[in-house]
Amino acid sequence: MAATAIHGAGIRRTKAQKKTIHRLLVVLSVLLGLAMAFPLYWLLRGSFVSHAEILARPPVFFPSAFGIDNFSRAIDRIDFSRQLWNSVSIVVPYVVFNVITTSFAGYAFAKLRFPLRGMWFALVISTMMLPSAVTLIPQYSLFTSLGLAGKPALIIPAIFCAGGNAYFVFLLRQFFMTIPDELLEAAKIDGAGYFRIYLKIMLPLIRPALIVVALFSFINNWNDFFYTMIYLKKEADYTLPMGLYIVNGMRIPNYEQVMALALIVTAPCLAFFFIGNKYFVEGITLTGIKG
Amino acid sequence: MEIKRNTSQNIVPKHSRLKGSAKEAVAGYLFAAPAILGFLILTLYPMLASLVYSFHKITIVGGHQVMKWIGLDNFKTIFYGPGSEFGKSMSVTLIYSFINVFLVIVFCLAVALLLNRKFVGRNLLRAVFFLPSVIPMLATTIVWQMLLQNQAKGGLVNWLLLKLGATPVDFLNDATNIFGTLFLMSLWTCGGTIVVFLATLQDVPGELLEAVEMDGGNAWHKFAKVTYPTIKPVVFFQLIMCMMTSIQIYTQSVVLSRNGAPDRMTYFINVMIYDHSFVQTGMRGLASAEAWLVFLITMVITGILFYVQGALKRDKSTVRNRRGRA
Repeated sequence: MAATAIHGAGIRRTKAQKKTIHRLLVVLSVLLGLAMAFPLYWLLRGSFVSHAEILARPPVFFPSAFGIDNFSRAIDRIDFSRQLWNSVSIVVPYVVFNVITTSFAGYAFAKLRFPLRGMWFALVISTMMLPSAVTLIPQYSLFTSLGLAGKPALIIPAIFCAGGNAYFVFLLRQFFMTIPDELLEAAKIDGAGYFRIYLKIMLPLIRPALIVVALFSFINNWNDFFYTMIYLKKEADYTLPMGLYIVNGMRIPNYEQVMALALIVTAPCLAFFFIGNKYFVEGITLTGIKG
Repeated sequence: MEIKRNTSQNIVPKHSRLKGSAKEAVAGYLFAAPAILGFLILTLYPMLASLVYSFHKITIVGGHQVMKWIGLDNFKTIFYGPGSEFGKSMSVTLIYSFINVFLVIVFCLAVALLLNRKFVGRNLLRAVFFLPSVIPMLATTIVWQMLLQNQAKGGLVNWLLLKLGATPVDFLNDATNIFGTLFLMSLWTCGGTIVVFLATLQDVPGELLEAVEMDGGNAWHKFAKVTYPTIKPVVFFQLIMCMMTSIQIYTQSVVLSRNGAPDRMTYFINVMIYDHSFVQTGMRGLASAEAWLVFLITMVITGILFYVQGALKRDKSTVRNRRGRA
């Protein structure tokens, strides 16, 4: 009896110990979380404080007034509506093409049997691991000679699952593989063609994955800077992020305006994050696990 | 290459025996056409073309590309040229990449383990950790620049340091500190990897964890014997992908300075190749040679990583077999 009591006390002690450790770790997570959130808060703060406040010592942690002055001034410094249009007119076709062609490829590689399928899939996927520099100059020459160096050059890779989009082919293929073959066979017996099967049976079933691809593809394209710098040479073609880059590099940047502009550039990503958080997590989860 | 072997093994379904009709083959090729054409036109052709370019001197005359064969001169310039920037650029890129990959993987694993505990509000915290990864790198860099710059320009961290009686740190213009700044930004935006690890941790068998605990194992034993072996393939995949993005770092460098300052420490290969291709004239051949060297070096690194992973796996399995026999 006594022995079990002592034993029990031992277990209780370690349980109490465990609880303290758990609590400490939770506190640590929360502190880390606050540290992660802080720069975002600083971005928000920076876009609302006045010019005097942004340089003030001690720093102003809460703006005295929430005006939109910074935003309107920042917008005035660039050709805002034009740059916004440029950004949108690149990102929308990019996302649409990307969803269509990567789902085509994912369907083919997962569900259709054709000669050399394994080889083509491996080759397409291997482009994920290719440093973009090695294709850069010939691609540029190619687009230039076709008269496409400019906005089209930023959209065309999406049509061809190139430029890192092989990742989505991989992701969608994983989703298509989860759909049982029997479904496809049954549709075939009913006389449905491969395109109808894709459109009417496959697509509705992988809708969440398509949303993931659309979201990631939006974020990737919106955030791209390397290719934008290469292909957009005329000021009339500049995108919103380029506008931000230029204002940030000005001799007198007026940081509160830079912050306001940075917030504008970030806003669509934040909006999509809040809309699609669930899908993001789902999508990353699937690629990560199958990776 | 091992990855190709792996993937092709996965693809060939066991039941695909002689059943594929010609119609299905045609449909397959049609559906895969964009991806296949993309590989041929936007990857394979440019890769081979840039190999050819690397043996040429390329100048633009009247809007047209004129190529002159110069043999290995570009490579000689890269390795022996007095003003060659390749060595420094490649070294800073590789140093950045290796340290960055290590930091990102360790940080993301640690955070994932933390957030894998059950507590109120952990979903909110997970979102907080993921959120920065969707923010454009451009905006990220600008915000961190704002936080870390000289306190007279509004830098918060340096103001805090001064306030605490410490000496301010030059985060942005010091050749060593700049790397710290880059690592901070990289850790801030690695939420995607955290989410992947978190998801993978759900596959760790709870019974095995309990069994280790019953045997008197501590948290480290649990991690080393059960958790890590389960999540290892995913960690490896993330490591490779992180390596690829690190080697191609560009935006951070051009936002912080336009010439790789301080002391060309942020003159990473993509910044250099961009300069040689599109800023300076007559250097596209050289840039192609540089790009091919980068490609070869990346291949070697991934090759080594795959080899090491394979070797570890073989090691483990022989140990296990021996134990099994004993």
